[in-house]
Amino acid sequence: MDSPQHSLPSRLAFGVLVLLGYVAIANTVQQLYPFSVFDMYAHQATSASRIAVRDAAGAVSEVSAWTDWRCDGPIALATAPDHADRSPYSIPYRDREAQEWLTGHVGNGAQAVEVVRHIWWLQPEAGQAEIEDRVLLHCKARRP
Amino acid sequence: MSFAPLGSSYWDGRSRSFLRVGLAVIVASNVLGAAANVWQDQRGTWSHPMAPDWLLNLGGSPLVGLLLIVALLAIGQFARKPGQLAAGALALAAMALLVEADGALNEGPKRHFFAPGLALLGWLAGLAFARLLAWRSGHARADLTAWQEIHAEMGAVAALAGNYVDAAASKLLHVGPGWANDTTLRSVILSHHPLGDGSLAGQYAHFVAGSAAASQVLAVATLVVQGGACLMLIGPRWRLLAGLAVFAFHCNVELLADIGYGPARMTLLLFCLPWPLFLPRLLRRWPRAVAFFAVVAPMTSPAVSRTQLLRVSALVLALVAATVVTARALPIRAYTALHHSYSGERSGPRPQP
Repeated sequence: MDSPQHSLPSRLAFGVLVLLGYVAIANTVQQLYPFSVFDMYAHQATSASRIAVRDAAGAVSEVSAWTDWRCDGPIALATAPDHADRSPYSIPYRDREAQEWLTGHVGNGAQAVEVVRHIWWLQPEAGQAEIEDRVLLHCKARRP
Repeated sequence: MSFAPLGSSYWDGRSRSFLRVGLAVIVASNVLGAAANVWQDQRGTWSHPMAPDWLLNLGGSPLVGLLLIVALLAIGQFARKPGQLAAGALALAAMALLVEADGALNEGPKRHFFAPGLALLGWLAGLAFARLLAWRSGHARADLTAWQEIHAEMGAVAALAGNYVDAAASKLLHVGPGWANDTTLRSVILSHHPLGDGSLAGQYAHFVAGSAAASQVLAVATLVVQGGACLMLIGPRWRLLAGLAVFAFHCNVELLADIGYGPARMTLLLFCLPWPLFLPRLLRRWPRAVAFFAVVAPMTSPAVSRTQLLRVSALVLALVAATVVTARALPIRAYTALHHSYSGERSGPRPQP
């Protein structure tokens, strides 16, 4: 037997076995290298949120757009308790990036700003979103 | 669409060295990335609450260097010649330790490293499956290198396909068809895309996040493309079509949500593009490079009867079942369920680690 065609039944059978085997094992272990069910976005969210900066004019921007931070309290955004009954969808590593930026860029900024959780409450069947900013910290910073 | 025989490949009749070396290069780059992360990581408030000390203690430890060297030497040996099952398995084990340590030290599983490792696992499973078939039919494995790599290629492609099929299935199982509504994708985009991004990508993300119809169309497309990855198994043209669709999906996700998955995209291109159709012509001035695509001598393959194939397939299914039962008996699921346990919409306070 010397043709690649000869291997077709066995390789196709093997391909189906691998696909089914992957699904079975991944759904058992959930997340264990190199298996994953990739369920991080397998939810139905009606909100979104980011740690952001709100300046005196009310403009919202990324934390990383500011430097020389001086804040009125300990910087622990990732574990800050939410005061409202309902918590919005958030991405922990994005929160952590914001926190690390603040702790890594301490200085003597002079412009008063608020560090907020910027929330979009999404309206089904419409492109609009209701915006809410929950203040986490009062700080001074500088925009380079 | 495809008139090629079921399960065939653009690589049939040619050496698969390009695939093997390409996969090794992608895995090696991932090894370097994971090792750098673990070297810089330290145990902290973001560490997994159930992670064992020995895993967390890898953070910043000289053992990271040792794992890096072992993984690179092993993947080098895997690339050097066909059939290197043990070397590939050693590289995969070292990579698994690094990636799991990285995930345990902070923020949960580093899924962008998973696709190349999965392709490597599928490749190695293909070598083992072919050897098992050859052994059952009484053939020495030394004559069967090309035959083994045919199955290795299929194993890698099927594992990649399973990855995406499962991603679609998890959305449908957790939420149902309603996942593809008009808010889910908007939520993902708004939570990820940088605020105030005035670039073309930023304008595109802003448009989709503000359009219920556009976000719903893209959500439906996500399910179709991820579920359609199983078509990669059918034949070369289907593999090209499904692979490029998944590649385009990743590119779109990067534009919208700044989530790259570069290693997955590279692995998809490696296994799904018809390299043998155009690279030999482009590389004809470099004979050593063309050797990667050499037409191989008529392949020796064992005469495998349908009964032998069924028996070996049944054995593989039994192994998968045993793995599932064993994994269920161990606290793996309890451990992995705590990854990202503090994300998502919730009505109570954020749990403390």
